[in-house]
Amino acid sequence: MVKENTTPLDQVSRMLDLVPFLLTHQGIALSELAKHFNVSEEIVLDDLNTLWMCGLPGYTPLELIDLSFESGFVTIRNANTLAKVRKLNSSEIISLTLGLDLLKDSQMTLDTSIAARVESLSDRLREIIGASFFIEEDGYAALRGKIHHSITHGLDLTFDYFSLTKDSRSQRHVTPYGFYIEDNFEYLEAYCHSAQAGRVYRFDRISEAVVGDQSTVTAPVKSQRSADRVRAAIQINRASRRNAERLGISLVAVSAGSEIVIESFTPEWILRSILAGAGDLSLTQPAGLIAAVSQSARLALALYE
Amino acid sequence: MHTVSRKSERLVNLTIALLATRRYLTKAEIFRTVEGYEGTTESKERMFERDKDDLRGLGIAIELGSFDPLFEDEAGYRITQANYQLALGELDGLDIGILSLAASAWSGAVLEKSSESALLKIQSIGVTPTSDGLTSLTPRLILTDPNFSKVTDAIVRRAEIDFGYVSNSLDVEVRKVQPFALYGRTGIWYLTGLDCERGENRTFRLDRIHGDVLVSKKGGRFEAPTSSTHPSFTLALDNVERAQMKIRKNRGHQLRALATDTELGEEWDVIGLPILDQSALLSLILWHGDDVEVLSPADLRSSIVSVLKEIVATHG
Repeated sequence: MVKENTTPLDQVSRMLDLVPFLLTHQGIALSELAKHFNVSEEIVLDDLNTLWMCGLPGYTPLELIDLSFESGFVTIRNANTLAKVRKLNSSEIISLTLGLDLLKDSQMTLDTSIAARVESLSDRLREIIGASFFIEEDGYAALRGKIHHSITHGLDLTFDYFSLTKDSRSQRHVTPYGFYIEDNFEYLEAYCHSAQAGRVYRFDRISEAVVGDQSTVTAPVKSQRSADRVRAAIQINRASRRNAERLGISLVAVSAGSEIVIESFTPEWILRSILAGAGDLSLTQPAGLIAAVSQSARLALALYE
Repeated sequence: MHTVSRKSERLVNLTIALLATRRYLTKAEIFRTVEGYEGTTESKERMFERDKDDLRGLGIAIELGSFDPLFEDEAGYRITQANYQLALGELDGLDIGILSLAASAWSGAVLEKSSESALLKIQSIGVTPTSDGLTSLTPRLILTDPNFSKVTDAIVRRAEIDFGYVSNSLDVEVRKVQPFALYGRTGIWYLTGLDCERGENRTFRLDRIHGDVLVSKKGGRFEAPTSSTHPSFTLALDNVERAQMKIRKNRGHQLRALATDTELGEEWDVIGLPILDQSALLSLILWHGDDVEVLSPADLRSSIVSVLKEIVATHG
């Protein structure tokens, strides 16, 4: 049983919104009404019973709001004063405005009339709330559209993929089957034809995506990450926000002199992270990787000698 | 439970009475006609003051005015329909469909409740939503940081905020800020505002705020700048020091992305780029190991050399 939303103010807010909703949804089932307002039927019943006592001064049957709900279906009459839908509060406007900003990115492949609608709604809301809240276009609208198209039509996709760790670009030929967001990054899940296995690709590292005209039917293969994670122990010589963010460790949990353990799928990523740590980090485990860090630093140093 | 109903009943009745009236209702008239005001005059007054604040808190503005300005009659109260009702202009089925999709972006995220109540109001207009021409792609906002709502509230109310901010060296510094804007860029949220102690406009990343943001109770403390529509403060690129470096063929893609000029060679290319953040650039150069050699400026070159020597020393 839902026991939240029972403060008097929440109830007032709900009652004021119930009236216009009921006026346009006459005969709605009590259970459905409760679902719409995200509260239990018990609470909606209490709201309706209270609302039934409300009306214009005088409070005779002529002035009171007329509700009937004994049958389990709700109808309302004599509620003209509250008939108008209430205006949106600032959080509601912000939620819609930012949602529309995102929509612009995901609906770009659509015809311009939809884009114009989104723009117009967005303008109307911003007229009320101002320009203080927005999401910048992320530039992946076209990519998202292509992936969506290739998934719904079962078509292959080719693109250039940048590997940060390997510092290299290569062409990939895949059959996409999904995408998701994790830790603020958006990923494509696909079957990779050269690896003959499922792989994930980060959106911001994909370029030159082209939807093919061929459909290679493959059963979705869950991406296989190599099971071998490399564990490394790192000593923090100097605390630095950049390193903490790179290593994905809590920003304030680390202090100079402490040691942390991280895991990675690729030893090369650990090696480069230590170099990029600019002396703020030293690797203390495993021995093989320590030697590799030293070797890389020596090779780089040789350029300057 | 009964007292809960009594109070909400009185507030709804007050709203109806003030909405229905065309002229201003005096306090005496309200106490006489609106159900629920009981007790001594003093306790009725107290009740009414609290009710006004509560309604204001729900976004319902009560207008204070007098019926006839020529006579010194007692001031009265009313709520105008224009102040009360949704004013988004004509909305058709497609508009409702678009707004529904926009609201669904908050599923599981910090403004989920607000987006649901917004949707409820929009559905109350009574127009059936259509989704013709809309893709089934639902945008998602992955945002659960409770500070988000605090900051938006502070911006709307123009209230100052205090928070702990994680510095470059991971110290937590206390900042006092007049917040102007909040915006998302590639999944990261930025807050811009006037840093009160530094006396300058600054940008902060929401995920670098440590602990809870404290929002001042007093609103209307400042005016946000209106001159620029884009509240992120852009950096002038003129007069910024530049770096030159050799980059091995087909390597150093992240550095190449920053280059403003490139000179192609046989085994190495030479690129030039502005130094916006020396320590970030140093770190990025080091990431690339022996695929990059800094040519200038001399201090960047010598910094690289001394850091590499330190790394060699600590790693045997």
